[in-house]
Amino acid sequence: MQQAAQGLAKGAAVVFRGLRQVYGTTVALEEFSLEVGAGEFLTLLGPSGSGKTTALNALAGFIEMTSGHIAIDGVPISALPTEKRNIGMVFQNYSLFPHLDVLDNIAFPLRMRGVPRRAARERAQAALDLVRLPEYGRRMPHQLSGGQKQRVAFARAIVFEPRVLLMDEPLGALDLKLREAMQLEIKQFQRQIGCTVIYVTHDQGEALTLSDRIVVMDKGRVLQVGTPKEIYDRPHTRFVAEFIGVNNLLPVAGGAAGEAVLEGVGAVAAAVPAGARWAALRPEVLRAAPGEGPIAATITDVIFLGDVVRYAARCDRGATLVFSQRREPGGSAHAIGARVAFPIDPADIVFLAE
Amino acid sequence: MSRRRSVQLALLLGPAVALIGLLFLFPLLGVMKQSLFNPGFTTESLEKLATSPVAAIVLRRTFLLALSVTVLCCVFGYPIAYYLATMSKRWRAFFLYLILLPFWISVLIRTYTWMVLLGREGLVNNALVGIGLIDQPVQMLFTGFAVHLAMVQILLPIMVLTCFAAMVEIDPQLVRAARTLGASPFKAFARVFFPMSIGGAAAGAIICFILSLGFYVTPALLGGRRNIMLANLIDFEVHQTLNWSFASALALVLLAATLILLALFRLVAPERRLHG
Repeated sequence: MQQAAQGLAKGAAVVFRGLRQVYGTTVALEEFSLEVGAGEFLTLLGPSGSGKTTALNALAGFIEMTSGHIAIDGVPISALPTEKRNIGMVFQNYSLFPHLDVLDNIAFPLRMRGVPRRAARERAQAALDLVRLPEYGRRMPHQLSGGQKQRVAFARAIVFEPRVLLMDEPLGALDLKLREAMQLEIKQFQRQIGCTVIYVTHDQGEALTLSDRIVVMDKGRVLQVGTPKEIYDRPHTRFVAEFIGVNNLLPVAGGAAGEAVLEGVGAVAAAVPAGARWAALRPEVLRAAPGEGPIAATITDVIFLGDVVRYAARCDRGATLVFSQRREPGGSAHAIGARVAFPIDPADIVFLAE
Repeated sequence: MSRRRSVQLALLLGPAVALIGLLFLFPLLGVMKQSLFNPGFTTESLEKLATSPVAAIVLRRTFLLALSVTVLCCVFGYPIAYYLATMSKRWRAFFLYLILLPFWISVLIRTYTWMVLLGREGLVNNALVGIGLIDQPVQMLFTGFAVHLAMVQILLPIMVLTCFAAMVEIDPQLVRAARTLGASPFKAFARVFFPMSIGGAAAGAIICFILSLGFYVTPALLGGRRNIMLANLIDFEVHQTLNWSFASALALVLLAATLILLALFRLVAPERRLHG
């Protein structure tokens, strides 16, 4: 197990420069430039049609780009066919070969590289040990569960020691519990083998859990690049603020100097940056105290989430704010119809221009 | 519940089973009887089958023809099916229609059409003479070539459709996956696509072979006297020599060959394919 891990080369740096992909009149990808560090776990996050899969397909060599180029460790690869790029890939539907057993599936990339069958199957067994399925070599793919298929697909993608691993919604077909368990495993495997991972998903929770950095995309464009913390705490656009986690988004009207008027809520003592049109407030930073105040509201909904309780409150000026509170021993919950006041801390507000 | 199901099943299948039993199995028993009783039990026809040089030659010729027609259908049909299965869906319907079009025309009409095309004064000979490629019309009609050409043309849609049905079931992503794992386009085809489609090709080949064995009209019209096949021989024994007993014995050979091949077909039929 450890031998297999130690033998692997470390990750490679990947650079995308000005990638552009047009299908007919639709622009699938526009001005896509990105530098992925060696050994980094980078996630392309976005809804369907955001261009994330297009970028991945360009790197894998499935599509020829309209313009732009890609380099791995400084070597341009745009002219290389897929099989010469030496990139591992895990697909959403696993894509295991149904006519080969598990060991032959994993040995496939080694056989393609001229490794004799016996040696290839030995190395495949080591990879199978790494993903903790040592006994499953003789099974056929249709005899495996979804999670097992996923691990075999992972073993097959890394057995030939690629320095870059692409994962296209690899957990999309699994149920929630298994997905969370597999997220942890993927992270562990990646730490063990140290290769660069480019991961595509539309699941923001998955992106936050796994990534060193996240690239948020929409409609073929990169909206923001940053660590999960940066993306979550300091979204640059309204789209990012809404796509990652839960946010209260309120239109901002200019007030007196040093004062921000949040539409439907009230005035807050905060300097409004030039061009700001929206204010974003995370539910967990909003504090609500029972009683009345300058910004007062009535509780309209109580959602019990286990470790936290999420409330919806209708402000006297019309807007609905969502806030959540940890459950604390002896702490009392707000009831529907109760009156609360929000002491909004200006430092918690994220102003957005678009 | 299961009792109700079996009553339902009996009602649904009953008429068809009765029809087949009455009109097919019963006469078939008559054919079997005819080959063994004349009027008392005799192995005369079976002995003749084993010793007759004519029967041996015709049987051998029929099986060889079926084999070569099947091989030709595979060689031409598999690439066509591959092309169809990998093309864009928009064009696929159109090309499928083109392939099905001749399929809907009667075998008799298609055979006559080949006679018109391949005859001494036919379109092909006239064209070849016209462009000066040959001086004299070439003998094409009443040759093995004509029989092959027409039979392949008639059976090709079956081969193509059987292969195609197996191929469209193959996830194109698998071929892509093979490419990322280091397989060249050819190796991805040879190691992934081909093994997964071979079941469909084998099924198509068996169907073509079975149908070829029983071909009657096409060899009779295009093959001439020197290219008599099993079905033509049976017809000859029934109508000309009136040796129904021997004709029955020949028919049983055909039936036995077909049943064996059908058993083979069940082994390779696409429904037994493994799913991922």
